[in-house]
Amino acid sequence: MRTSICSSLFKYGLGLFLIALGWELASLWFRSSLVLPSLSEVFAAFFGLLNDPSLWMHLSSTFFKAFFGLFLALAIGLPLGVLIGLSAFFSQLLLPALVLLKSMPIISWLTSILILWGIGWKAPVFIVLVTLLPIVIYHAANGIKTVDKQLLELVKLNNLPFRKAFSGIYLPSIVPFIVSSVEISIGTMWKTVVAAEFLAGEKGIGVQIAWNKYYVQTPVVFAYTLFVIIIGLGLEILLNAFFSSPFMRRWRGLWSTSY
Amino acid sequence: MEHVVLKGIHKAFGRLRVLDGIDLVVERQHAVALLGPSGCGKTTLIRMVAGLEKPDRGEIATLPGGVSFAFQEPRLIPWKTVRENLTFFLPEPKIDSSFLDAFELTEILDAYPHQLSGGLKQKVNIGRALLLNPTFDRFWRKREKIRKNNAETRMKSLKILDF
Repeated sequence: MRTSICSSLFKYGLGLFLIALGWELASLWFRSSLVLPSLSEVFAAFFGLLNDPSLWMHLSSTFFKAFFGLFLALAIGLPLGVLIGLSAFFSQLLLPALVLLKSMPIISWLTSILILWGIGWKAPVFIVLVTLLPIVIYHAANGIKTVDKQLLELVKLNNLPFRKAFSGIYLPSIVPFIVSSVEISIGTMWKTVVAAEFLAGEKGIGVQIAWNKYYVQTPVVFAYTLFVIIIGLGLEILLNAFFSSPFMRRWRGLWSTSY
Repeated sequence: MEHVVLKGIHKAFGRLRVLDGIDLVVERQHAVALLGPSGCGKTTLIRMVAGLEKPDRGEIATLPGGVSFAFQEPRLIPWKTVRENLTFFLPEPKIDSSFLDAFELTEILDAYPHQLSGGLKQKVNIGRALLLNPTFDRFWRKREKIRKNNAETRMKSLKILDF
């Protein structure tokens, strides 16, 4: 067990080392910190940012937009997904809109939302919302469609009121699907909000990347990118820890095979 | 008194004719067993009595609220405890403790289905079906009343003997 952990850590470390080596070699090849700065320049910029008080303001702004977008996606997407899962009529009615939403590039929204709201927090929140909405809707709808038919027969047999059936049978059945949609959404949300800020934000990490790009401060651009990656990984680790907690394990399909 | 009456029941699944003019009368307080080879339509017939399948032709009459159904497989709700499984479909989540004692369910009320053996799951399944049957509920209350009265009478007799 211990040997296997050491072996995994060694391989992980080796992987990181190879990335660093590749980066340094590429940086030497380009011979320009404007194109690809060396790792030492990126880390110098990174630690410089840590001492910059405005960094935390930008980080909190990005966090707010990302999680507000996710909250809206869940608030709108879950009921819609449930409706699609329950009713064939709504499923067919909303399918074209869903396909459209899923395939539409982010930049196609930009003109309209910039005219409507201008540069600010609303546009990134909206972009996060429209990006996550199809994910949440599909998961919720699939969750409803896969509710155990044998349990639904029990509902029918006992003429259970829909409200009680929904809270007692449907909702617990879709919890693993909701959890899964949140897991996928968090990763997507973080990348999307930075891109949306880059295009239409007023403050935030994405805006900082945009400004530093204009001033050709490539090491700072990569330093901010490093922040984005670290926070994205951190969120993923936190989420994994939460979802593998005993409380969430109980909700995540402990029952799915054992009855 | 007739509890379940089936008249001229026909049922086919596609080209497969499963039931072909079945007549059956089950009298009240009678036990009836349906016997036959696999696939001859026993389950289909019982599912029709429970209202889970509709006959292609024929009539089914049952005493109002007189039918409850225990599936072959336990079909317990996995995320609910035994107590919740027993009460979930009841209008009021109350179970007579004498019923639980008689069915030996008191000890496992807080267990989840995955913690139970196959036999215990089946016991909960049958217990749930009985609790959902108003006829059985009336019968149990009456039984308990008689038992209580007998006990009270015995206590009175003992008191008389004390004096």
